Amino acid sequence: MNIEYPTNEQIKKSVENICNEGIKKRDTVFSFIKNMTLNLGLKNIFYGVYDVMLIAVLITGAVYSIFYLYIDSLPGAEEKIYLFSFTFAPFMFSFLFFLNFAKEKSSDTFIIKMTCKYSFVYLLAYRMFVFSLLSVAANTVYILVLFADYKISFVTIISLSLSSMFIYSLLLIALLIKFSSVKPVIALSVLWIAGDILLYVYSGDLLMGVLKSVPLFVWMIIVVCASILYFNALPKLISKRRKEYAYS
Amino acid sequence: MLTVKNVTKKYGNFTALDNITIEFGNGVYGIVAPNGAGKTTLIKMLATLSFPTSGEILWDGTEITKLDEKYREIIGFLPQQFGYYKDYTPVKYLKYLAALKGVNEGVDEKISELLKLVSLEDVANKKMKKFSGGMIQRVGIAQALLNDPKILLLDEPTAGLDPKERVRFRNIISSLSKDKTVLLSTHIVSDVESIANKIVMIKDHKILYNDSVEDICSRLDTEIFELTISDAQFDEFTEKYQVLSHRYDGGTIKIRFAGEGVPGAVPVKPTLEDVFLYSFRD
Repeated sequence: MNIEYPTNEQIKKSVENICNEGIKKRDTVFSFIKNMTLNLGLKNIFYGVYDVMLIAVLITGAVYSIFYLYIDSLPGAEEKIYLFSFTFAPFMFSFLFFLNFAKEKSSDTFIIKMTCKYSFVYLLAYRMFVFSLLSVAANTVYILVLFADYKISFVTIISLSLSSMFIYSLLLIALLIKFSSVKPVIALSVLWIAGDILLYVYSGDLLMGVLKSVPLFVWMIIVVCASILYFNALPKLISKRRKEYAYS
Repeated sequence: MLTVKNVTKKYGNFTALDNITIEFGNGVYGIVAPNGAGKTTLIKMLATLSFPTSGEILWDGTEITKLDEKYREIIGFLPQQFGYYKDYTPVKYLKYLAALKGVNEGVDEKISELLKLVSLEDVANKKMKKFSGGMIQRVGIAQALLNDPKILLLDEPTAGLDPKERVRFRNIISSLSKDKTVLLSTHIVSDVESIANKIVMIKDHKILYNDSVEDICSRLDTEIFELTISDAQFDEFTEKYQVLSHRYDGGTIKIRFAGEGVPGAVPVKPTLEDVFLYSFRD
């Protein structure tokens, strides 16, 4: 009996094929963003959510404007600016996320979108990337306006603002990945905002003391680390097995 | 081959589906059961909108959750309530969904072809807010076919359609089934009776039958009869026998019932509807 054995070359090729088929390439955030932009286009990715984005921007603008108008009437205005920049930094991102999520979830087309190749989860991850950039931009512009009028350290305030925003965003995405549900995220946001407001109103000095005690370079490290972890976590929203479509 | 293997789905203490195992090859499968029996639960699990509490669902031997987007690339899904954007035309909406489904090449031709298949080519550029329920459903069928799926999942697709639309729908499905696995869930037996290769009947959250229409109907051979009785005898008759259906015919009532030993009763060939009514009687 003559059994034909594969050559070394054939074995090597088979092993390569098996490995390529079996091992799913992990998307980096940049390849994910690039692929989505090229394959779907911004128009399709953001279809139906421009209105809620506008609402989020307007509400954030209103809150920031109110603070701006009343800063001078607050004792220790400069310190209040530091506090406000830290506590309210995730505000716009949070609004963008929840309004977008609520609109999609309540839409008649949600179920159809969840069964597409680029499901709602893909759209969500992409939008969160853009929302975080928009929030950073909005917060930076606001801080620049404050910097023009008040004696504040731009670098310190921007570091506080970005740290707060990226810590919140990182916690949000970590909860989404862990639980595949929006309920823990709602709990996080309520606790974060309520906690910040309570601290701001009743223990502003304590919070300010804590913020001041952390050296500036530590805030900068936090910004860099939190933002890297956050952006790298975005593609993981897609790769993790979803428990239930509802993201209930 | 799409395989459902020992799948149980629970919602808290409520068991929607209990240890079901089915294999689906090419052809049309009618998933038939009354409302609330678990049809939509099964369809949603196959569409990856929901996941089994235990057991697994496999496509060609691989769990569909592991396949992830590769599985979604080969399915087409029409939900019970098909959502759409009212201000969109069918062409615009299908283009949008084609992008989400990853269909990039030949989109315009594909959409044109599909709208012709579902007889909507004349209203391709009209806003869908002016469409009837049947027309919307046809857009739904078109979108389910955009990515030329290997598996077509249709959840109660004929609910709310008039008889003419239902016939049109049956004809469309029949033309597609040769190289696809088509799963059609319904409680309207007549919608699948003439087109299904196999019927999956679910009772008490388990599979009751998984067989061809002929074989399922033959289980009630010699048990279904027709009899004509007077209006006055009807109530008494229904108390004694399992009446499946009845029809007024002049001054009398023609009834179909399960049972025997009734003088004058004529044995008839059971239909799938007879089996359904008999199996799911109160």
